[in-house]
Amino acid sequence: MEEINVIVGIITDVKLVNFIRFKPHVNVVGFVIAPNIATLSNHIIFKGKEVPIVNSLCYTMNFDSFILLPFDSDMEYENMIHPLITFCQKAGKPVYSCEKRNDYVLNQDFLYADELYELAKLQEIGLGGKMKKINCPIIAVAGLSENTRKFETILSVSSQLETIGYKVSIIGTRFDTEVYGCYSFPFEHLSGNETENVISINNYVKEIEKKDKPDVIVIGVPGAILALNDEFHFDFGLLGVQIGNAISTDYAILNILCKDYSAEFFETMKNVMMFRLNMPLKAIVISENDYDISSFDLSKIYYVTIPPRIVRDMKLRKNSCIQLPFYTLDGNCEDVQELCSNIVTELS
Amino acid sequence: MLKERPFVHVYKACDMFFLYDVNTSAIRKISRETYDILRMVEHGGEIENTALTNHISNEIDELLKEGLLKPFKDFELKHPATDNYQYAIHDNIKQLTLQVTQNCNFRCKYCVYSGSYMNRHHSNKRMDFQTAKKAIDFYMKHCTNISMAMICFYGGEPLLEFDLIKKCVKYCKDNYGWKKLWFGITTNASLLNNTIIRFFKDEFSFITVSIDGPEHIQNKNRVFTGTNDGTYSCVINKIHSLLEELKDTDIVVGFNSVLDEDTNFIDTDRFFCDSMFNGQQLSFSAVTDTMGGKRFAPSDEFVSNSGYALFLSYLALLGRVGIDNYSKIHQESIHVLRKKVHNRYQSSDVIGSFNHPGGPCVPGVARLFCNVDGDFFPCERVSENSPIMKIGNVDDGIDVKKGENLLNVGRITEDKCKKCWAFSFCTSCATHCDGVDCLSSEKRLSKCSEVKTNAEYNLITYSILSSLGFDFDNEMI
Repeated sequence: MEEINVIVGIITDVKLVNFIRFKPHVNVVGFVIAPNIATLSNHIIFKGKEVPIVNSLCYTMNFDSFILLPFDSDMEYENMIHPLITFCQKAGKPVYSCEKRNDYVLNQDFLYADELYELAKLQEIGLGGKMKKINCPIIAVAGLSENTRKFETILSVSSQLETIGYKVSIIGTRFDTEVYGCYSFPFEHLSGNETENVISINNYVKEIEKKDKPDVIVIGVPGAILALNDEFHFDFGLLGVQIGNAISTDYAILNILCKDYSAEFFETMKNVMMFRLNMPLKAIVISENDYDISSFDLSKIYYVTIPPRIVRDMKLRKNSCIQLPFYTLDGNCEDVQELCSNIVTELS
Repeated sequence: MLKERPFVHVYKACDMFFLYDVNTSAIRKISRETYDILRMVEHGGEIENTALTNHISNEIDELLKEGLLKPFKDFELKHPATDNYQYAIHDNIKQLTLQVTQNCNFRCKYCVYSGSYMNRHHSNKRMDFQTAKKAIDFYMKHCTNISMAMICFYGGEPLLEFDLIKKCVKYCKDNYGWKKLWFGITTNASLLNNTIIRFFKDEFSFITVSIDGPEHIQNKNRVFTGTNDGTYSCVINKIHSLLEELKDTDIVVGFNSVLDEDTNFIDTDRFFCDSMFNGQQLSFSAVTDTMGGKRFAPSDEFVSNSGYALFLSYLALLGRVGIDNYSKIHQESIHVLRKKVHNRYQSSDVIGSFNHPGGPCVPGVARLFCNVDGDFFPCERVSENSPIMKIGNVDDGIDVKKGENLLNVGRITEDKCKKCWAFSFCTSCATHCDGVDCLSSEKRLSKCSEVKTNAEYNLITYSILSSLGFDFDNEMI
């Protein structure tokens, strides 16, 4: 794939740029950061290189396209994003948005919607009909809760499998993942009828298999596999059940929060994954998130961020007493390599 | 058959008898005979010495088969938020409340700052802009996992420092405009003018106005500094202007009323039924005696009228009288029944291997309060003159150990708390055991009786209303 030079912004949270780490053809030549982000120098270390913080300098720089990260407020748009998008439009540089927005922020004057998804060159996939047999091995990545970094797991695993020579097709957990070089989850093809949904998902995966002829498909299970309680029900994990019926999973990874679950709990989860989602649980990935229980009173779930050191300690404790391999995603390549090695062994 | 003392509480509601099983949080209707036996056991009677009829034995066996009537099981007294507290302080502070001044143009007779309390007084102290900026910078650095930064202005009367408020809002927008911002204020409304209302309209999301009721009730306690003149006529006109100006906006106006239990309940309730308050958020609180202020003994008339209004409210929600009988003041009581009793957490082991009595919020995470001097406190309700409540400052940040200490306030009365049947219903937080330099176990225990009485009252009311077919899932409540 041809290398492209991109500027990425507006950085409000450095974690948001993680996805680019897995795209070898995307070369970041500058970051535009929000004014409050504390930096000790005029660059950010990214993929082992010093990438300059460019902000207003970007108007004079040589770059191919601008990657616009998710953002919230109108003020941010007014102050920083609008001039950037206008500049890119006039200079003929594509703007790739990481989220599909229909509000006025990305209105008809700018590059948006379908054009934003050029990175993956996704063709429309025909759906409908009967269940079809999928021959390619499938790895599923599910989450015990929302916000367990499933997408990062998908990208890490896929990237490593590609590195060791496998052709991988990726189906992300969100509707906007083409910008990351994956297929999006086919939410637009789902209806209120569960049977139709199962067939649609099955056909979607089959079409990807036919089109890409991959060695393996990695699919993310959107949302969570179980409700937390009546209030935070995560749609009761019903989409996971539909996916589990649509495809035959060969290797399932469960992403969990960084919490001290018991051995008995993991035995139960193995059964839940097997008998509810039809997915053989083979590995656990511990994310660096946990519930911020003080947010429950606000009828909203926020998550606290646990330091990598604590997550690694948790992994070591669990690995020593539970019959399932545990991994972390703290930028430590060894874990991803081990996970992929385990996948290759299991699927060989 | 019962072999060990069950960890339960039994109560009587009209002519019905109920069991609250502490380990599971289950509520079951029981017979009079079983109630008598379990009550005797709850109060220290010996199980072995008790001869049981077949009926009681069968009923107890059924409860045992359900997994109820298990004995007390020891556990570690630790708040569930403890392990992640330091991380929540680091990234998840939900709201910052800035005390922009300690001064007020009112001298409300019940106010904690008005001189009748042990250690809080109004002063001319005001927050300087440098301190405000430091507090805002600290908050913005520590709310990165929260989608919206919420900043509230508080006093004294914060509008005495309107220029400072404007500077703070501008500072936030200039420096943190990329983040979704939310501003709120608690005011007595007396200083509102067109300029301030327009500013609110442009910048604010939530305005809380303190007003106690109709003229004779407002003027009884809420008087101007110096003159002691009543404040009603000044305030009510400003409230009308505020509501008129904000009527087609998304800005929420809430009203906060302090109930002086020596005033006329009916007049206050009727006042808040005025159309002016339709759709507005109303909250009512009793005069506090947390720091030894004057406790106003409720008059018999107040108690009687309040109780009758609550009774009528229940009948209204049961459809037995018109909905116009639904008391605005008692809305909160019904919310409490739904939230604390109907929606209580139930499982085979509610308490688990570690737990903490209900009551404490997560200090500094839920509503970080910064006083005029730049010191941090868990919320605006605590006394900022108590060193034990001070959890940090704008220069040094939050002292995690002090915050954890307040979070786990139950440890000062650990043995009593663990074996208390009202463990899950407790409402006592660090504020209630503020011994100024330390947390006071005596103060905490002195509130137990009130907590248990309220908990039992809620259980009784809930059980009666449920038996009458009250729909606690009804959205109208």
